[in-house]
Amino acid sequence: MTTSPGERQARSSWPRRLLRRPGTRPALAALLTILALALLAPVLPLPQQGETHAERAGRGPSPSWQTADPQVLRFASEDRPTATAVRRALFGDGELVGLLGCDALGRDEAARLVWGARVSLLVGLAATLVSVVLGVAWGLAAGLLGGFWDRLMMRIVDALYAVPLLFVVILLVAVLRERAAELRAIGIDRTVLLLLVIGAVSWLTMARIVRGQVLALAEREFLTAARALGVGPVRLALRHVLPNLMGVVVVSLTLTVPRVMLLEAFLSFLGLGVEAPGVSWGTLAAEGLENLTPVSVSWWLVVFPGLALAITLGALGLLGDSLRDALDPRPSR
Amino acid sequence: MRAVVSRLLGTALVVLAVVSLTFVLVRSLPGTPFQDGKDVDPAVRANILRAYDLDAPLGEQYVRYLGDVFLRFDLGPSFSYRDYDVTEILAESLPVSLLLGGCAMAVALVVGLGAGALAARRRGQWTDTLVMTLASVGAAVPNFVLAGVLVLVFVFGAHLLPVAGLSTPAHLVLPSLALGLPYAASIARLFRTGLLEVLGEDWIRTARAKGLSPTAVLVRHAARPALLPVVSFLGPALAGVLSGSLVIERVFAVPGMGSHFVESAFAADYNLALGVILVYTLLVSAANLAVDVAYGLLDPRIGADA
Repeated sequence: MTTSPGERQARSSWPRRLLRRPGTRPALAALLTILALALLAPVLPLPQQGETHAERAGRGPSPSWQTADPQVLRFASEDRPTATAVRRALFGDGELVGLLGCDALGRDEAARLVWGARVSLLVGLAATLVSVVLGVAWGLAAGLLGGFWDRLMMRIVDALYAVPLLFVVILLVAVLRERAAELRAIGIDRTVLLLLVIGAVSWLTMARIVRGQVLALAEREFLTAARALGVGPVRLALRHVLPNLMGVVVVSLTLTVPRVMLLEAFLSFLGLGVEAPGVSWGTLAAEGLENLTPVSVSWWLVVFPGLALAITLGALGLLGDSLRDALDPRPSR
Repeated sequence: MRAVVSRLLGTALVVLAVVSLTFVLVRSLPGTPFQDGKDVDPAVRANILRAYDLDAPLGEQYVRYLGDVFLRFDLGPSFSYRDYDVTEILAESLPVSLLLGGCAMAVALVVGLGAGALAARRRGQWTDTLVMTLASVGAAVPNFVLAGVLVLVFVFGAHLLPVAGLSTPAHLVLPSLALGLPYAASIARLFRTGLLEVLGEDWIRTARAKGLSPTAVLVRHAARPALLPVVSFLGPALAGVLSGSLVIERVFAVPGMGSHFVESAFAADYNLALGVILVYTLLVSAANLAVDVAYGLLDPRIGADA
């Protein structure tokens, strides 16, 4: 692009700049496809993710169109009447079996991946939200309070960086499981627990970034003006500072989601994540590795969950980097 | 010097906080650690509690616990390996983890620096694009996925390498690769960016004008400043390698601290779990400190007392 510095200063809007960067469009396309598949899972003509068929055990990728088990379809329509009705209308009673192979119990891998996507994405997004709330609150408070409190709060963040948080998460999840009964009484089941714990350890970077932005904003006149007008501290924080943080928060958010999803995948891989019969990509990868024996090299059970994770995380990372560069107020290099 | 002392103080506080937190967590759980979930005769239970000093008031337990940990380096008995002390288990498994971690970091540095330099040399050509695409993918892939693919290719596909345990040097290859390659990807990207920034400078042009070959220019002049972002990254990279070893040690059945930690979490062996967390926290803090010192030494702009 041969634009003069003057032209570059008169910038196009950031969405356009974002889309122009190499790799953004494929990344967005990949993410939207995965999101669509996850959302549409109940409507897709695939076997149910827990459905076992002894005759399909250990089949490699070999797609075939078969009639769905009517019993299974009946249960499905009891759980999700609208979705199953739509599926029936579009695809009849048939389903695509073995697109990505089956596991040792004959469960269809494509179905498990699609349903696992729902869990992985949901936990990823929800845990990121938790970490955003925590990080923004902490960074906002530190930046606005300033002085001793700011230093103290940021020292705590620095210190927490040294602790290997994966270990703490594992320990917390293992410990809190013992208290499962009490937690369920207040409405926290294992998935909620998982995303709370993951969110609770992922807020550090967000806090740092938010605090930095608050300090940068504090120099600007609109805050001094608001204070001079007598705006109270809480209202100042919420109505005046917070909206101006959205830019950095969004960028940091996009970069937090892959880290959080990775953490969930790790936990699920170790068996501390989503509990059966739910599946996430992490549990699928773990099962795939377990099932590798010299007798049956079921590569599809390892490669496809791996691809799902790699594509999603890679696309998110790419998007986050592009977003950060596109929102950067400095002229491009 | 002041910064170093303040960092050490911060680390000490974090360690204290971690120890205290785990103490509280463990003591707050119902039952004793040795019940295995069964109901035991009250007399037996009282004996167990007394033998492990678990019946004293909480404050007294805490003080005694702190004294044991910090003065005698005694982290208590392991709840799952019944005849062993935590310190013994850690002493056995720490060298293994360090070996694996060291090899992984070596892989990350060698592959990362080499790939980054290659991409910078051949900027804009297909080599560059290929390396950078691989790096983007590699940085996003979880290490257990990479491990699975490596096992598929090198163990079941080509029958070249062993998969489990640590009895021969060959056993180190796959785990180190799985653990280190994702960081090699990030290092490659950082080094390439650093090199490209540096190679445009005037003093590089002077070096070339003096007749130095491109390789010499790269190695003797451009590498040093370009290494700075890589050095900064080494701290988080080591922390990541240590965390990643949790999964990799499990996958490849390497008897290091990581595999012990996961087992201890499942078996409710909180003494062992705490011991591992302590050791890792200390390792990461030491690594960060070393990285900061190295950064100060590498960058002549930073004062002698960083």
